Amino acid sequence: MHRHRKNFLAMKTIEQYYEPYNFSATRCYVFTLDIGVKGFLRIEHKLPAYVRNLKEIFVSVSPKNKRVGVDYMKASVPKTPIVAGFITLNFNGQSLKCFQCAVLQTLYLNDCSNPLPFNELINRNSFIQGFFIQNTTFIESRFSYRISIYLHYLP
Amino acid sequence: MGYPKIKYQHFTFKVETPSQEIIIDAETDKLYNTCTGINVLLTDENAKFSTLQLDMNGQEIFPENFEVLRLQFRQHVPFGFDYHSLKEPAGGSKLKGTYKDVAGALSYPYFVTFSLRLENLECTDTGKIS
Repeated sequence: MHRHRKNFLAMKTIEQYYEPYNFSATRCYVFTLDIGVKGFLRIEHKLPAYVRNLKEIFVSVSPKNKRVGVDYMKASVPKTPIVAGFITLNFNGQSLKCFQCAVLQTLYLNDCSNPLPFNELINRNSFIQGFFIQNTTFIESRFSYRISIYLHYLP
Repeated sequence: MGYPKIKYQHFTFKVETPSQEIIIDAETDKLYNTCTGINVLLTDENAKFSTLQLDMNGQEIFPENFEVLRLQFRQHVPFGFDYHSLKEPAGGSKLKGTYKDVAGALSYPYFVTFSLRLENLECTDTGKIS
C-alpha cells in the first residue's frame, strides 16, 4: 500500500511530463566537432570566460556536409542507428565532474529540445576535454558526421 | 473591441538553394510585451540540421551553430505543449539573425517559418483600445 502511494506521488502530471524547455532560463554556447570516419574523436575545447555556471548540456549528431546529407536521405542507407556512441567530458582539468552520455540520435529524433541537467561551476580559462567513442558497426566509412555540444549556462 | 490575448506571429522565408544564408530582420508586434514561445516549421523536415542565430532586442537567444532541430514543432506532445518556452521582452523588439541552410533537404526551394507566441504577461497599457 505504502509502495503504491509512493509511486502515485512520484507520477508526473501531463504538464510536468511534456514541459517544454525554457530557452530564456539559460544562455547557450555551441561548439561543433567533426567526427570523421575513424569513429573516435578526442575533444579539447577552450571555454569562453563567460561560461561559468554551467546548468545543462545537450549533445547532438548531424551530417557534416551536403553530400553526406543527401546520401543519408537515400534509401541505400539502412534504417538502423548510424552514429551511436558515448561521449566523455571532463571539466576543470578533470578534477571535478566527469560527464558521460549516449549521443542522441538526432538524425531520427524529432523532439530533442531538453538538455540534461549538469549544474557545475567552471573555472576561468577552463578546457573541456574528453572523448567520443563510437560503438556501432552500422556506420559506413564514406559518411562523416559532426557533433554539436550545447552548453546552457547562467549569464 | 479588443485584441487577442495571445498572438502567434509568423515570419516565413524561402530557401531556394543549398547552403543559402538568410538574413532575419523583423520586428515583433508592438501590442504584446513578451515573447513566450517559439517554434520553427520546415516544409522539408530533412533540413533540420540547418543552423540559426537569433538576437531579440539586442540579446542573443540562440548562438551561432544552433541547429533548428531543437526548435522544431514538438511532435508526440499534446496540443498546446508544442511551443518551446521563452520569456523575452517583445513590444516591437527587433529580431536579427541568420538562418543557414545545411544542405540536406530533399528538394529546393523549401520554406522555413519562425512562429513566435506573444502575450501580455503583466498589466500594461500597451496597445490598449479604449
